Amino acid sequence: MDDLDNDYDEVPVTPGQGEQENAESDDEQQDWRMLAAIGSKKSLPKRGEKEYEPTGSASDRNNLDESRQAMYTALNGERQHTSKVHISGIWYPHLRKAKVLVARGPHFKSIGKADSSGVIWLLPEEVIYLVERGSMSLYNARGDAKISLQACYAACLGACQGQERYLVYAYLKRLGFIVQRATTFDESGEERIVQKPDSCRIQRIWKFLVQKFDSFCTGLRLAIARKIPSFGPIICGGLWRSYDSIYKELQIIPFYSHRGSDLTPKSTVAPFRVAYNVWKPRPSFKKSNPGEPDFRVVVVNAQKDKMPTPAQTGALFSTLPVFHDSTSTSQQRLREGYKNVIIGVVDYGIISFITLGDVSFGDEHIYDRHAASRLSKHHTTKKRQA
Amino acid sequence: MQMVENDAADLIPISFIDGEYFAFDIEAVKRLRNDHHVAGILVGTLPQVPQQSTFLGLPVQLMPEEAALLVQKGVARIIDEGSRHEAMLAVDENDIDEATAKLKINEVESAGSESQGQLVSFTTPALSTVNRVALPESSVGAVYDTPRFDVYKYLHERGYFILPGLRFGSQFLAYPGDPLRYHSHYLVRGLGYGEEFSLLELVGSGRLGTGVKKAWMVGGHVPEDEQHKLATLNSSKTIEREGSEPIEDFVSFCVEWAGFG
Repeated sequence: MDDLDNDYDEVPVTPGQGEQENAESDDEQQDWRMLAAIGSKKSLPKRGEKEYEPTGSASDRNNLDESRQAMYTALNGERQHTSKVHISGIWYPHLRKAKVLVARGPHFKSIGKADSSGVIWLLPEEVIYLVERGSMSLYNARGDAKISLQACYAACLGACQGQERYLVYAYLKRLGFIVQRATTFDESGEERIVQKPDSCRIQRIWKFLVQKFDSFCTGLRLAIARKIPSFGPIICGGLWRSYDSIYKELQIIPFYSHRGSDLTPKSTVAPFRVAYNVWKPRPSFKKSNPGEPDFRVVVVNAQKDKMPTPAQTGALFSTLPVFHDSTSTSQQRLREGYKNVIIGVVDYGIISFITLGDVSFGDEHIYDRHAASRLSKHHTTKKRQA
Repeated sequence: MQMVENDAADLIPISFIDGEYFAFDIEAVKRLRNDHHVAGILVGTLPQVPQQSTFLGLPVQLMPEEAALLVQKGVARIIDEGSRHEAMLAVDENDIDEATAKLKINEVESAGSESQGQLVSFTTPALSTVNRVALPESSVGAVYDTPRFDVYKYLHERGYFILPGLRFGSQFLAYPGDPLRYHSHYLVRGLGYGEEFSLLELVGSGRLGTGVKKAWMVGGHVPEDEQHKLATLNSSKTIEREGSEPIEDFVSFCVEWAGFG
């Protein structure tokens, strides 16, 4: 156990990609016989091959028995930690939180919240996660009973606001990500756009004025040309210095732009609210000042929830900040969108991730030779397997 | 509500927590898998190798259909973990005696943990020892008579292992043997008898299934008045099978993409 204790804060042994490729290519292909190899090596074993169907042969039977035995042995492993990294706490059901008594080890860099007197409190999902991996001893409020894994689930799961949320939380934590509840985790939480509103408003007003001035100039130019028939060519007369300006005049079909979309956050209704903010693992991470999250995650239940309607998607996007990346290419913007959010879909323990992006197709001028720097509109939500 | 512990000792305990069904006991997991071909999904972190999601640990999560069928067959019972642990977890909000609790915890920790030289190790058990509180069969009654349950039961009775269908966008996946060793054969969709479904679903699911070397299976329970009609139509077939299944009460079809022309 001792060598494993040192691995706690380690970034995952496999990067997410390989894992997902496998998961997508077919159903899970774990071969538990290969798990024994993990202890000594730093990389996960390759997944095993599966057969088409039972043949009834002795080797078939033997393989199955070995796989099952390896799995049962692994499942029987103890949840254990040493005093060097000891964490203990008391679960207070009425507060739906656990008070930490002893806090050793690296977990608290990204987990828990200290109150004004310096006592660290853990949220229910943090408690289950720590107990489940054997890192924490949890006691009841009277201090007379140690809480088993079973009792820990019974006590904390209801306070996680849905088991699907806990599963997504634990999945991301296991892969090494830093995960915190978003302000919209609770039904009553406020939506909040994290970007600075002032600079943004000035920017918006400026862009609005530029646009107005631009259309005024065009109007003026056409008026001067004195050829504005209600039918006939769209482009006529006037002075045209580049093809770009002509193409721009030809752009007469209205389209969606994220710039025109509502900038005041609308109210969202569960489940289509951001549940968790997620950061990539980094040594400089501070709980008190985490900075902008790398990902935002919404959690839905495959059995109870449907795909979000355009109204729900719109409301969700209105609560998200716009990415400002001047170096991104047109292709990147079409892929990632100006805003995006990850949806974790859970079906009785099986998790899939989907990214929803707010993409402005019309803003990417294919006639523009310097496509890297420009703007404008069409609404589409883009799905891809995360 | 409380069952006599002795009478029920050989029933597999299924934990009911916050609307979901779990198995926390390794012996229960073995019995479910070996004797009842119910695999469930491992959802916990494996304590030996916690920083990965390929190999997961206890608990095993079960679908409501699994819990309901096991109860219906009389091999399992549902344990209400909430009320079972209520007394143990309870606290008087106005009278929290933290100092005493801490003292007790210190005692427990210094006595209960094993010493390995300089290092002391602490272990969390998987199971509680508190008396179990069993729920009556009616607690899973709402699951019976749903198309999902009907198709689950139909396949389970024929020896299939059945897992949730999210990976391929169906209700269930049906495996001919333990999913540890074998690939699934069917993407399963349960329907009510006479329930209409979109042709596009047939095309989409049929093609998807064929694309991943599986078939799309659709089936429904036949209501009693229809069963007799079917029985007359298939009278020759029914007689052959007499004894085991006198009347067919389920119809199912498999769709594979043939790819003509």
